[in-house]
Amino acid sequence: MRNIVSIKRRDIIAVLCLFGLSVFSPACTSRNRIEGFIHYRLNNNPTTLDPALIVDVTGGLIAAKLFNGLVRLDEKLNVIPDIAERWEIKQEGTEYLFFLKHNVKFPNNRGVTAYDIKYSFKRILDPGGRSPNSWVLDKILGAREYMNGKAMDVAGIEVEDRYTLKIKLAKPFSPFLNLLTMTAAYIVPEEEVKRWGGDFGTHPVGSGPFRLTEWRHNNRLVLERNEEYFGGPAMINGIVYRIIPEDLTAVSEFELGNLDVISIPSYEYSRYVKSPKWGSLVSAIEGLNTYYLGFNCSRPPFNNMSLRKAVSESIDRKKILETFYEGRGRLAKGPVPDLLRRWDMNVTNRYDPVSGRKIIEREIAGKLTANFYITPDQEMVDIAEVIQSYLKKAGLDVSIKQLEWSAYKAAINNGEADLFWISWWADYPDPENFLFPLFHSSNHGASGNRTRYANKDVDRLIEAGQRAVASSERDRAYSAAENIIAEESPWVFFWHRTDYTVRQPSVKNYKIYPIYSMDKGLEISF
Amino acid sequence: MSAYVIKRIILLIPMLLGITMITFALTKALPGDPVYTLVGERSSPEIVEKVRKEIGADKGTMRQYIGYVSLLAKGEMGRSYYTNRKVLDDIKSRFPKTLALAAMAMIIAVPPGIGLGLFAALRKGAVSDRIISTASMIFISLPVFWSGLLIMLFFSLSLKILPPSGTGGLRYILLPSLTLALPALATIIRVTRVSVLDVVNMPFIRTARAKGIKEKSINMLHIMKNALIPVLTVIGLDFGSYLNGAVLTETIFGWDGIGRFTMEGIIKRDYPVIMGCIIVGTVLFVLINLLVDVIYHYIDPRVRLHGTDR
Amino acid sequence: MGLTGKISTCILACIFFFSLISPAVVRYSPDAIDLDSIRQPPSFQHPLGTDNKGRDILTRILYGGRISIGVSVIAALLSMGIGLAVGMLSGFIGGKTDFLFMALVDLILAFPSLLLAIGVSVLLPPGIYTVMIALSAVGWASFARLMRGQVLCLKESAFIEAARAVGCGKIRIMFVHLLPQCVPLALVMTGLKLGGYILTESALSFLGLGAQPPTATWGSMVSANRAYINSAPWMVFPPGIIIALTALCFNLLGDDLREKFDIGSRHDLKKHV
Repeated sequence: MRNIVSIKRRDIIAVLCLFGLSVFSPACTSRNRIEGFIHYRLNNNPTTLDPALIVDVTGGLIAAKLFNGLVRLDEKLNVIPDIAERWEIKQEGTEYLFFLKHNVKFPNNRGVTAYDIKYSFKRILDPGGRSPNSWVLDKILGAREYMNGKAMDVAGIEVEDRYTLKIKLAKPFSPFLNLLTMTAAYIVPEEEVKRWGGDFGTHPVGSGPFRLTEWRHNNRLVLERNEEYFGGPAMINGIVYRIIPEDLTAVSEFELGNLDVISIPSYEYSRYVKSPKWGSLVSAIEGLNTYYLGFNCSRPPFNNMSLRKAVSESIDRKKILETFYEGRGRLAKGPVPDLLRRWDMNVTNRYDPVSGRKIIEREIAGKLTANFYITPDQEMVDIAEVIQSYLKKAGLDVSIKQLEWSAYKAAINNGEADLFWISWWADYPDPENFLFPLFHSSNHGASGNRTRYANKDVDRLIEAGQRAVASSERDRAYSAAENIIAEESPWVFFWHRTDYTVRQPSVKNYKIYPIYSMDKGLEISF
Repeated sequence: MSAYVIKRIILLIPMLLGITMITFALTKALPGDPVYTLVGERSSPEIVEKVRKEIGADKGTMRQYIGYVSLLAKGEMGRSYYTNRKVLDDIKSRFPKTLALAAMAMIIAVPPGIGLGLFAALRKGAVSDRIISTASMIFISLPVFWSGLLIMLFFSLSLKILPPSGTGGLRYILLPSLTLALPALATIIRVTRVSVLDVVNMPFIRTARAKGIKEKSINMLHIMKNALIPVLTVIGLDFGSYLNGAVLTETIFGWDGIGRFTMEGIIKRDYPVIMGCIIVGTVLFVLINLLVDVIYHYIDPRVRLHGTDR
Repeated sequence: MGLTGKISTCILACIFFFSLISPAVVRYSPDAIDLDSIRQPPSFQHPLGTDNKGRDILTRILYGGRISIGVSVIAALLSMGIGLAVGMLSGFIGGKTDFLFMALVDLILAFPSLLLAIGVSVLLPPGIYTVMIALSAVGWASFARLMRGQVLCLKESAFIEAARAVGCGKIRIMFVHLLPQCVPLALVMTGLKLGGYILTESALSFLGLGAQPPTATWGSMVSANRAYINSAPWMVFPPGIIIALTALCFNLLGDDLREKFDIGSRHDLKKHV
């Protein structure tokens, strides 16, 4: 049997050689990166990069590098020129006149004109198209008629000359300029859209500071600098987005120097902040978001306002934020993020377990189990368990139902859940974005109002705010609406989350933005 | 022989129909709606209806199924709801990655697996046999998402010798394929050991020994030839299931293979993707097992290829 | 029983015992959240530390054992039952029945198993019973194939011939003569499979399809806490080790029994290891 031993040895040697080869091969010392390119991580493959179809953050954040809109946001959340050089607002806020820059070019060297803008906007509203983003532009005069197929053209988009565009609105809509900063309002070249047809989403072409040169699906995207960019070329040669689904893997890649910036997963937060090596390289951004526990207000038991308020009183949000959440956010007083709120709230959300329990006992006399819908996302599971334990102490039994994302979304859109945990992130920095979709009674279900909250006064106030031209009038309406909402508690308002990133020491001029689409990648350098 | 192979391949067609039917029924029965992922967080009922119509989800289930099967008959698999790319193209571009991973895992698992299994069998009861058997059991008993993370942290973060994720040369494939190979290695060791022990006790080996044939030739020729069949079966089964994609391993190591593609399809209810992946996966699985059966026949002509009576 | 078998039995018995009597021996409730003592390393109060919600890890492992082991054992027995019935019928009756049953078995074996389990788990309301059904829906096929092989072998053997010769009916042959010959093999196979079931339960938990929170299972503990492997390793390693240990013991025990009964020869092992 001696020969068997030798076979075994030979096998082992072969395997060792294989490993040895890889360990000592010269390729191993070179790191997995392209020189002069900044390396980011994405946790999933963007589904499409066609501005008309993008609904996910991942897509929006890349599209911002490839395309331009008429206007964009600066760091202080002001609307600033992008393709438009300046604009005038006339006729009590129903007419916008845009004067375009003359030096904006598509990669085929064709200049961007007012016709391109009209084409791109009509494309979003196209009755034959499948853009889910038509709500962004449907405030334009004649947009609804065009979408229904009753008109051949959008009456409110008029090309005055090559570089002047007039947009008329059906009625005044105060956040309209904010809407134009969104991904859906990016400008695309007609000839390229026609050339690629259904594949434009994988071959996006725009006037932005970067161009997509490689997209290996589920692996990586490579963007190269546009040398001719009208705002001056970016400081870096390009951007590599690596698609890494597992957080721990991304953290390992970062620590090995293969990624330049990562957003810090919550469970690594304290380690990075306390680390002498990384602590000074951590950046924080107070996000434009609100995390909340939603009630189904359209059916028992939570159509009962005092029960909702009792639940709210029974959860010590401050303590959860400080301990479990490690202080990564600010307590929410209402739905509108504190950064966007220019008024005071009359309602304070106290923690009073004794009174909460008393009301719960009174209101649900007898046994009641409410179902609480979440997804398998670990952060959601964690917070749901904490909420569940508080409610148990208050005498309310809650059973957690974990559904994966599609099923969860269908369930909360259709109003199957008594309670659900979710968050809302700003599309554009205006209180309207946190009031109209989430609380107006015309938006029940998939449009955003998943609690099915309905209050005629709130509807009226939100509409008044949308129409108001003067900002003081607008704030008065929004503030009244938000105070009513906070009083009636269709949500338990939790917090506005702060996000953290950590970067390599070699990265210079790094900035972190509250809205994903704000970063054009122009300042960052090595 | 060839008649048998042809018969098995013809049998694939009703089986495929069965698979499409099961998968279709399953995807339709799943709670959740592809439209909601497609339209984002904020969309009016009109948009929801428009998109539903656009992807053809407004038709009856039966019509959708017939539509799909006729598409399949033309050799197409439709386009993804989300990316609007052709499902077949996406599968084609990911398949080589999955194949590479599966093949590499087999390279790592098979030679040492057979070698160690043979060694353990011939030393039955000795300390070395016990160590090998128990160690192989440990590999089988580790959940993949657990062993994968440990392997990544150890080789990438502590030793810094291999990259944690990405694709490219040999260095990228080693860690995921090692993760995938460990349970296969353990299974092969165990099967080889049992199978060799079986053969060693068979009369014809005793006869050979009694006839004075050298130990060396007994070991190699007689034992291996006879012991290989169950080992091959296991290899075929493992290889076949790896070609269906290894979701957890691919997720941990950021490997862009079929497994993650399928999983994403399921999560987003991207029906054309789910159908395409399962059909391709099943066909491959069946073909590989057919290949294994044919190899049996060459190794041991006594194995009759009559399908049912094995 | 060999030494490994004995040791495995002892370890499994300990795990079973402590899981069963857990309410009597632990100081904490498994779901008691204590935000004042989150992520504490092992100490006198918390021998294995606490998790990110201040729950005692040791308590959760003990309670989790009841679910994890219970689910796996029941699912394995369920698959064995179905597999035994289908396999015996298929092997004994033969012909078209056999062909149809085996086509179904092949279909199940060819279908990606995790996917099938996922399919079942999303069809039914989530929870531990669904996990059991999902595991058995996938697991019965290989039992059926193994049992069929066994019946095919036995059918030709002398004692069945003898039974037939003395005029025993088909049903009598099946229940009185064949069944007792099949059960030991099925039981051994169950032992071998149990380890795998615990692992699949963990994989389902990893995908959020297992027992619903806050119920502790070993699999959900590893998958929920895996991210803390760098910052709070005590949250991840104990449940990970106990899964591996239990699976290992089940495997070793099954292996040991198989050798003792001298079954699982090459023919049986073909499709089922």
